[in-house]
Amino acid sequence: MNTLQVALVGNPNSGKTALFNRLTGSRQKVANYAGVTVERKEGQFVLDDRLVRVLDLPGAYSLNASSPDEQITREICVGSTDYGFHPDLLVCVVDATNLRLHLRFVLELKALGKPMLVALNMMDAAGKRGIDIDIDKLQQALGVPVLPTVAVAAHGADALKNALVHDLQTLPARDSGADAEDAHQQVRRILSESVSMPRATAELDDRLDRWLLHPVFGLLILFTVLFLMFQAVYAWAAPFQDGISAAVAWLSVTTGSVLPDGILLSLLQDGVFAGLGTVLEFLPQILILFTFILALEETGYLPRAAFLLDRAMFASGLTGRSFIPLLSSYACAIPGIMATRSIQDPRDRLATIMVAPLTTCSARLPVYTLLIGAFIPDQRVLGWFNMQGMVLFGLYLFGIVSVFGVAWVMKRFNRQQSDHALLLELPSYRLPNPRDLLIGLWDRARIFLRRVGGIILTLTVLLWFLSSFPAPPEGYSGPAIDVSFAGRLGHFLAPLFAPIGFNWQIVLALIPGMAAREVAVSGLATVYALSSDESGISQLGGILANEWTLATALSVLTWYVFAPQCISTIATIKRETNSWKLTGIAVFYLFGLAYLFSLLVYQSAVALS
Amino acid sequence: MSGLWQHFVVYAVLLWCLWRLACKYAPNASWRWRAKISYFFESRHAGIFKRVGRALRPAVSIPAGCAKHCRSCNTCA
Repeated sequence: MNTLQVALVGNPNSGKTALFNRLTGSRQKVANYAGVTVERKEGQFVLDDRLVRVLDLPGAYSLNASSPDEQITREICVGSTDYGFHPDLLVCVVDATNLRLHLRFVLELKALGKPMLVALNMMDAAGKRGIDIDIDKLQQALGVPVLPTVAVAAHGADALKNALVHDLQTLPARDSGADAEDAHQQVRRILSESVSMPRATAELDDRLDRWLLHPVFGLLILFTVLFLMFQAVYAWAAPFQDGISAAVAWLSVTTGSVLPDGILLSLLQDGVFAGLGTVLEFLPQILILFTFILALEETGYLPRAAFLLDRAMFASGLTGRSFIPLLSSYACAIPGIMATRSIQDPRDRLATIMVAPLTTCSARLPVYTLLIGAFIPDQRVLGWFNMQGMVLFGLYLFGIVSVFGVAWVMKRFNRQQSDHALLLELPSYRLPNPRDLLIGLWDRARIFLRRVGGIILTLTVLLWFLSSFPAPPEGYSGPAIDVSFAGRLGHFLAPLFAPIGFNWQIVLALIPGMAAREVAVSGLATVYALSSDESGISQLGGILANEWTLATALSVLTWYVFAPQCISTIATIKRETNSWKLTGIAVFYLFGLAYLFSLLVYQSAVALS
Repeated sequence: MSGLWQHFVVYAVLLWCLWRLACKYAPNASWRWRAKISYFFESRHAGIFKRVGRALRPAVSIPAGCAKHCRSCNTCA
């Protein structure tokens, strides 16, 4: 079978990944802001017995790479052999609504002399704005084939697909002789020959930006949006959570009626159903939160938020460039830390890597919502606002303040201030594409369920084993878990955590919780299920409300704001910094802050009560 | 289900969990162990052992990185 290797290149936010997904059937993350793709991604499709391997490259404004992600794009475009991919064809994806910026990169790529074509993406948006592009004239002016595409539409890439397979099999390499004309002049000439622009292309954008980028109203709108988002997490999730809880309880009871009493029933009821069931209940809240985040990503609002926060971020020692990596960290710190590759200044990059674990990743949500549900009354404040939602908003704000605080302290240690001003491309506003939104939500659900069925199940079963064996000696009257391996370990470590109010069950749940934060929830459910005399599954929230004091709950919440309870995140810090010393510093300061703030919160709460 | 069977099922589940944990946190060591076990079975004469060995043969290891699906955060999935 003939194979064609194609690399998708272009400016950031030109729709390369959307086109890649459309061509290959992949489901890579897309969003309406620059810098989503920081690593190359590969896919393929077969059409008429021809295999086409497609490589999606990080966006770049030019081939003069200034950040690690642009470096990858540059090296593959110029023909580096390090990546095992030698493109036969460069497909330069350009945003049809922003040709003035994107054509410069097309000219730069053309100068390489490699076979290439231009995919004129977002043609639908250009049409709506009244931008009239004469494809034939543009093709003539550029000297390369130009194909219109709409990567977000169902058949928007069919023409490109057919062209790749049928028309462009033997596209010759072109003369790389550089044009004497300056790139700016060339772009101006090409635009005047082939594109007619309306007078006001972005009137609506400008009108919206007048409010959304206002230094006062803009910030107020940003905080209102975030506040409403967390209100919705609590207001809408309850019926779904009750449904999942009832289903798991029914499953547990049914299993109990089928299997005889014994070790297997204990594993299923006290381990699998108690542990995993408790974690599964938080799926609706995670999906509601991500519905908002993904919708905001799609509209193009998030880069505006970066612009609004740039001054505050710069004062704390970060820059607006850190915003997108930090925002990615709200899903998971790992892609967030990897997204720092788009930050050019090494000092800024390191500062962002160090503070990224402080952002509230989705794995914290089960811990937060469990404890808030157990200890914060479900009351209305001012008649409208849910108190639990307000506390959750407060915890997220606490995370943001910690990011700024730690970055500010780091700036004190390293006074060599970065001089990179924020240059940010503000994309056009657009309505979220339902398909992308649903794909994003499905991916989040899949990631969560895979974690539940993978690492969380594995560790819950192991914790159940350690909490059940060895069996207590005959005549022992206390809870069996006290004499188990886990019970002994918990009691051994408990004095270390006693000053911050943690009992031995919490300490025990923190150990497997190092693999993933949600495991602490399933771990607590398993430990308490084995500690109680009743068989079967009961609501963990209710148990905690009886067993813990409010001071302990606040202390655990504070611990989870800071503690790096995720081995994968630590491994990613090591990989991205390539330094054990910096990784050690990150782990030490995060655990140190967690202990210190938990101590302060616990002791203050005890003193006040 | 007798007590013996229950213990058998529980210990099988435990072994499986330990194996998964090893694959996640010690991928190189677990890959080598799997390769050794696979080789042990494949080098036997009986066909059934050969088939078991082939089934156990580990996939070629893939270096980590988003482009190579390291699966540490699953965002590449």
